[in-house]
Amino acid sequence: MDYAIILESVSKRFGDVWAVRDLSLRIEYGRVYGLLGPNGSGKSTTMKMILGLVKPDSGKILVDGIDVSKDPVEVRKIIGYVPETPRLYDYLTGIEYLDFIGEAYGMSPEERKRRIEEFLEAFELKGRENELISGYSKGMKQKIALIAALIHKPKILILDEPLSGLDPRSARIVKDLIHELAEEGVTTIFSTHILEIADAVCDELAIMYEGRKLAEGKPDELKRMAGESGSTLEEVFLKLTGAEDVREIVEALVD
Amino acid sequence: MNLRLVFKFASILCLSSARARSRKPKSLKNLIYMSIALTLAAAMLSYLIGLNLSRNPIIIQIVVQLISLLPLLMLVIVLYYGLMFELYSGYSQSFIHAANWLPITPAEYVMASSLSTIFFTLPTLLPLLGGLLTISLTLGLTSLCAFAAAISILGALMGGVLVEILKTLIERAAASMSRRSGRLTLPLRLTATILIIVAFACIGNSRILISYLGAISEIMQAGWMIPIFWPSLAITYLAQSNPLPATGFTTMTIILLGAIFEAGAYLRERYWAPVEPTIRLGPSKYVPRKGFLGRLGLSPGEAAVARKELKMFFRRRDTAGLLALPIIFIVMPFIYGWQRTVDPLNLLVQALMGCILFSLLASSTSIGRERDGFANLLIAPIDPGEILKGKLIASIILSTPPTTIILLTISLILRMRPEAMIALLAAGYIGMIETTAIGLIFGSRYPDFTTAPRARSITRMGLLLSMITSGVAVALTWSPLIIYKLLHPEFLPIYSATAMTMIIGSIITIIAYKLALQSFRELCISQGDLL
Repeated sequence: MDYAIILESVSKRFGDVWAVRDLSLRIEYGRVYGLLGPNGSGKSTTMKMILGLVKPDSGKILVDGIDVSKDPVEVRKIIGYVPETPRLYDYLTGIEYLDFIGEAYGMSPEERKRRIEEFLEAFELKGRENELISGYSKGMKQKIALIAALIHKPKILILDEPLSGLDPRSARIVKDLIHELAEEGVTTIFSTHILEIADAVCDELAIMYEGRKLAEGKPDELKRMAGESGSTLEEVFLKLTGAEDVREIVEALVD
Repeated sequence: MNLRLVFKFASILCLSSARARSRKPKSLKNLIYMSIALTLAAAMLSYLIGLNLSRNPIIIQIVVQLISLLPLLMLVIVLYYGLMFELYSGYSQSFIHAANWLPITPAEYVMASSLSTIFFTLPTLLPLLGGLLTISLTLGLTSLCAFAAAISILGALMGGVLVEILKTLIERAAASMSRRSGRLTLPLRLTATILIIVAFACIGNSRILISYLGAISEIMQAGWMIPIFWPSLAITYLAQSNPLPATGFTTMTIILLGAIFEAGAYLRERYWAPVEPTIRLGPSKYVPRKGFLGRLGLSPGEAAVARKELKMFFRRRDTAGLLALPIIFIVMPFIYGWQRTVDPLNLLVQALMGCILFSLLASSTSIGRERDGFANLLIAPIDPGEILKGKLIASIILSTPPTTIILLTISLILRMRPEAMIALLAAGYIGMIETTAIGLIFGSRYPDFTTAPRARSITRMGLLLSMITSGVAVALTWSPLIIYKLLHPEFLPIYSATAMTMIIGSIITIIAYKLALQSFRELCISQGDLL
């Protein structure tokens, strides 16, 4: 079977802290794969290693058959990435930023124009595209970041909290778009703290904790794995990450 | 007004501002210690000078005149600092915005912000105060000394509040202008910023300042209607043992300070715009083009980076200072020699220095100017070599027009022979290109990505090293022409000297670019780890 993304025993350390420890993943083409975990569990580092932004200390990463450590630029040509905090250029207008991204991905002028205008229309940014990004709200910046990840028709999408700041309509567009793209063979890695979204959007999930993969499987499989098939993904997550003492913490804060 | 809250908030503003400018956590204390040390040194020096001065009436009159100008000096110093460093600090500073929803009244805000502005001028204000007042003490002017100190503090406070008023008015004008003038907003803002910087660079020239201060003393007595002279007139009349007008002007000074403060608080309440105004640019119809950059043979990635650089350069507030540089260098010889003819050679040297410095700073700051946006370049499928080439091309495109205009103008003013003009242009262009490449080396090794107010985009060390290296490189490149100028032309004809200059400059440029590329690749790797 061909895999879109393969991680083989990948580890990354920052000083004394293991951000990712001996992580192995195999993600098939056309799957929506969720990465769940508390803050500092290694999700973002994993995503950055797949992008070739961070070099793993050990292990191997293949994206569409390309070794990331050997040709990270080639890998990035087929990836669309939305970071948790989009870092846009405040002194460009929305359309200038998207034009820059489109050009950087080697899109022709005609294709750039068509795709950008389609997405601006879809995300209700038409009429705001000629304003400087510095004047955009958080949600608008998130939309621009999403459009930038999607315009060049990536084979792989890496989305770190992509729905943050979005209105319900735009959030629904993104979720539906991910499913549509998955049917066309686009692979998505999706990181979120909102477990209901992960449950609804993802075909498969990995739960990470302190740099390691605690569990992997379909949402239903994970629920069965936790021994409570009727529980929510949130309860499974809290049980697996050992955070069941939430009630005691809340009671202590209120007292 | 809750004074405790005011001082607490002022200290927070100072701390935020100091930490934003310096990575050293104790920089606030260092500033205080430095101010005290400088004040003591100035006081000791003044004491020694005072002891050696005779109690000659003329000497005492001069000292009294200087003391009477203290409040005005304090006001000007605080105002100057505020205009250079506090204005255009941007909407995105959270420590300002947080105050918008905290229970702090506009008056408390204005007082705290004024105090924080004054705090950063202490290394200048305190030694000035200490020095002048110590001399007056040694000459037996004790009561005048104490009174002048108190009134001078009012002068400094006036300066601080005036900065707040200007901040509010300028932000308000900017917001209003952007709503009305659309695309003209940015060029207008850029022009206004350049004019302010050039004006204050000229005013900051000590020769001008001293000659103006001399004239001010003479007209002050006649200009009693001008409010900013009231504190100085209060001191002057006290020195003349005229208590009634001294009391009158002191009272008016206090009322003036109150009025300025009330105006500041009112404007803060009425016109503070915490949100960046929406600035609309560009045509209503989006038409992507290959453009001339594509026709230059640049790859899509290189062209994209270069185009982005050029667009953003003229829109950023912080690059206005760079654009003002060549202008300042041309204007300065006229300011220095403002009462006599300008030396042509001096003008030529200043012009060349202005061009070289601009190209060096434009390229060395191009990497740090990315700020958070550097992540976009790392994520995009653009090789670091392509990114650097895009930045190089953009910096050269930015530097070429001012260099061309300045050199052509100078050569026309000096009525140069054609071969001399060719040599000048060749030296200017090759100097510009090689300093652009050198700037990229140090911009890659010492970038400053912080989003602090007035962040330099390159560290102080990087800036210093880039200037030294450029100086040496340019001197080496221009050495054939310098030799031609110093020795007989038969030793080294001008065309040979020009050719040699171009060859040396080209070799240095190639070496510099290779080194820059190596440094930039290392930077991309290290920044990827930090993302």
